[in-house]
Amino acid sequence: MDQTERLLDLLGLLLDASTPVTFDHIRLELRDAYTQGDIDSAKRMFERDKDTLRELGVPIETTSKDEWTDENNAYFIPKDKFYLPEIRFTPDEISALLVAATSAGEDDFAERGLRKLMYGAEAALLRGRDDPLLAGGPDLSGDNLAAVADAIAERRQVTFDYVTSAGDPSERHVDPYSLVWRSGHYYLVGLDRDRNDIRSFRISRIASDVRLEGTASAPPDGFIGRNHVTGSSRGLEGSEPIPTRIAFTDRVSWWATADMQGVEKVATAHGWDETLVPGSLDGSFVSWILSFGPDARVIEPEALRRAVVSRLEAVLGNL
Amino acid sequence: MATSKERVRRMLSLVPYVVNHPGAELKELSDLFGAPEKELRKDLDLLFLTGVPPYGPGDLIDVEIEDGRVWIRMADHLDRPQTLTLPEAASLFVRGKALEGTPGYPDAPALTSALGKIEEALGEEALGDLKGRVESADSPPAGDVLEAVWRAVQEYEVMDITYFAHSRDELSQRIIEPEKIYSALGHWYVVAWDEAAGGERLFRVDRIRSAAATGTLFEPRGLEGPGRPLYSRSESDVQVRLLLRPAARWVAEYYEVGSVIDRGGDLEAILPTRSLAWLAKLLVRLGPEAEILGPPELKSEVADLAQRTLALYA
Repeated sequence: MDQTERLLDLLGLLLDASTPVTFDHIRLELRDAYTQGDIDSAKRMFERDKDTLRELGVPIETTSKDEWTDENNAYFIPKDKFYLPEIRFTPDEISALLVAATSAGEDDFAERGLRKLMYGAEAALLRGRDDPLLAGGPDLSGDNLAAVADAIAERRQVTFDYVTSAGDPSERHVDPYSLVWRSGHYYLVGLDRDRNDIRSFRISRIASDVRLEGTASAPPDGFIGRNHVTGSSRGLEGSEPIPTRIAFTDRVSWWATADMQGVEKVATAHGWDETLVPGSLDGSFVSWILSFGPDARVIEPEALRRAVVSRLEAVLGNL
Repeated sequence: MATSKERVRRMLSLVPYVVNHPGAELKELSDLFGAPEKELRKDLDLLFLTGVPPYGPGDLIDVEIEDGRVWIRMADHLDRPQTLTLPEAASLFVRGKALEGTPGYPDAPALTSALGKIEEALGEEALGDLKGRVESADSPPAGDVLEAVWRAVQEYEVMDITYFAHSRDELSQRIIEPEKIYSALGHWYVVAWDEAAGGERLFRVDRIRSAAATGTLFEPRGLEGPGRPLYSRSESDVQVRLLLRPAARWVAEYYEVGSVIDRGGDLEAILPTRSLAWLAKLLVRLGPEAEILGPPELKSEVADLAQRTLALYA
């Protein structure tokens, strides 16, 4: 008997049974399956089949059928753990899930999950899938992202090799607390056990497999992962912003501050828009201003003006 | 041919689907379940031989295939799918949250409620501690232009836009046929045919100053969506050679680079570029973190830009 056929029959038997069944019973019912004359080799084949079903996520549990023995010799599938609970999706929700599952190209797990969820959906909704909507690369697919999600779900410690943006490699031991999506990347945020500090790690900079280890600590009360994802392009994380006044030419001012909070345009004169921007004296804020070239000019504070001027002088001196 | 395990996995979701869609087309099933029709036929032939005890004629699953359509009956134990495994639920969730948290995605509300229903139905078991631990940190973008572009892409409508091209450092008006939209590195991009340029171009949506619908529809050309490089190389590109100190290594990750050599912590990278203007800006921004190895024209471009910027403070 073909293994696929045997697995389906075994599954049918276990789902159909109203009480736990012993191997002897299974062997009797599945006449063509475990026919080996040697009971041990028949049992081994059954064990392999049982393991395969378990690998597929089928919850086969054991119990003691016989009150005279403690041996767990009977098998059953708890129906509430096996079947998908009924979920009523609206057509819009099904379409959105379909797009989400394929949002960043192919991913076996996401698509498998979707195939289960769509069993009752109107067929027309499932046709003509759109192109992916996110270019996420290794930050949205692959084993490491899946392993990190697993580790958070099961609260397990993780170990991996990590290369910082400055190119420094090292092995990290982390209690994973959350996954944060920012600017097209997923970051793992958690307790770096060697540094005893909360750190963030971009998934695509993990340079090895992610290994799951022992039980991890729980995040502190009120923990918010996104507050720990550092390295903004304007260097504003981790410090209280200072008020700055910057003039932008009108050809860039409409997009320069479009995605920023707390910005206020206060005056317009001779093609320049004077704008109040929450900033800092940090080097990365200076870099951000200089990225507009002669289309941005610092008005105040004076310390920021000086920082910009000395950076420009350094650039000229280096050439 | 798939392994027994894969075949059983497939059937556990295919059977409930067909039970709930009597007469489903084989071709459609092949698309939905990602398997060739021939393999599905073999699966269905096999399914026909299985069932529940005592496996008599009345206990076996009834499969009928006629004119490329499929009916499955007598499969009471498989009329609902198996619940999601942790990796399946987690992967769907992580992708869903990313899309939901990408600012400006118009179907985010439907996605939020769908993910909420899954979270609620599957309960603690399926997602464990992952529940509530997937966040988004992006700030919302300006909405009107993005909305207009989405609509134009859905309807294949020609648009009249004013666009700030970073590479040329100029604002210009263009007539485009917007065909695909996607998000990369935190920004929405639209792939479009540019009528005047006579070629396909990639536009960053937040650099579109204004977008007007024209009422004219266009025929899509099958332009490539995400996965394409953000920068399309050309033969006339200038090859710029830079030495990037550790604090500037991100440049080699963020932009399309030709080749990268590690020089003891610093990176020597070649960036192909159509114009030196944007690179000069990048270099002024990087300051001492980057050194120009060539071409020499880039040095004078940077000097000129730095002097013009410095003049603002004179």
